[in-house]
Amino acid sequence: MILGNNIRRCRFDNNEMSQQELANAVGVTKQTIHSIETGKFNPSTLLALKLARFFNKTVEELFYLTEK
Amino acid sequence: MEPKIRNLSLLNLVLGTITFGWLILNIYYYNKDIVDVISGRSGIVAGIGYLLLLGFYISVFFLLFSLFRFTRKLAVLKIIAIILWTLSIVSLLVDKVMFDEIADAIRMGWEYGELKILNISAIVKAIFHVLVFIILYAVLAKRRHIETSSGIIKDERIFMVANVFGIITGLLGLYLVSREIQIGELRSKNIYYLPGYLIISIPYALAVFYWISMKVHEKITEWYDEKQFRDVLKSSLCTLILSIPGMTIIFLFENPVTFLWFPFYIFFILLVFSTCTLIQNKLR
Repeated sequence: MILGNNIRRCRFDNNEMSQQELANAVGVTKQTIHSIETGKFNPSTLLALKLARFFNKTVEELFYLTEK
Repeated sequence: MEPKIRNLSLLNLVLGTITFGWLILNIYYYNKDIVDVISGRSGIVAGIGYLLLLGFYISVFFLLFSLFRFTRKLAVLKIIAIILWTLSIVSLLVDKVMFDEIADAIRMGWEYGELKILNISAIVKAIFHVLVFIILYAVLAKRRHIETSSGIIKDERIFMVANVFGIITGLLGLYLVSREIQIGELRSKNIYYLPGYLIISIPYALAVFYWISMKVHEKITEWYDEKQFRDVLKSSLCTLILSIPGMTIIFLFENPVTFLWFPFYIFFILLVFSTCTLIQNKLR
């Protein structure tokens, strides 16, 4: 099982914000946002909560478990 | 725009204009009468000029420091400026050595060919001045485009730049060490190669110094972004493992072993660590 996410979709729903804008908002680098979106990097609980709070969603709405 | 950046820019403009004029004048004097520059009245002008030039380089350093810290604009220009700044500082040392050499040659009545090196050194400084003027134009004349950011700027670029410099420095250092191993008869004078190691390490040292100076007011836990932290940890492990075969190579090829194993070790781990970090950060 791997960790999937809806961050990319949420970004586009949120005025098509860029990875850089999101990175600045939650205090990480653009590369980190890119790696999370492509499933190469699993964020810490703290970062997951920050992202969820930023998009005004729950962590479960933003992240989910998937077989592939 | 930050008032600090504007004030620094104005200071740089004044110092830059004066020293640029001095540089052009100096090139003329060097080629007209170098003896007068070294021992005559022109020497006083040259001495004052060098002091102003040193002041200019210090103020440019602070300007670049502020620009890196407060804005993401002018990224390429800033990186080129850092490299040229380093070269210009090195060229000051070169000037000192060349003046000493020429003075000795004049005293002994020998021919001196160091004038060409002095001219090249002056050209390097002049190119750096032109680049600084371009940056100043962008900052002062087009200041509406250089709005500073009040948000958190995670230093992704300096992280990348430091790693790229680490790779270049590591490769150059390993080349120097391997060359010294090949010319084994000069080993007793190895100390003379130390400045070479130091000079090629300057860009990397500056990048790291800049990065640390930005981070010194932050908590250690916030020095890295969490992915950067993971990348650095993985690269450290990778470096530790690869250092074993790496050191085996030097002990096999260098017999008897001299102090060269130490610079080899430093540049080897710098190369491996920077390469692994860059790969981890960009591809993983």
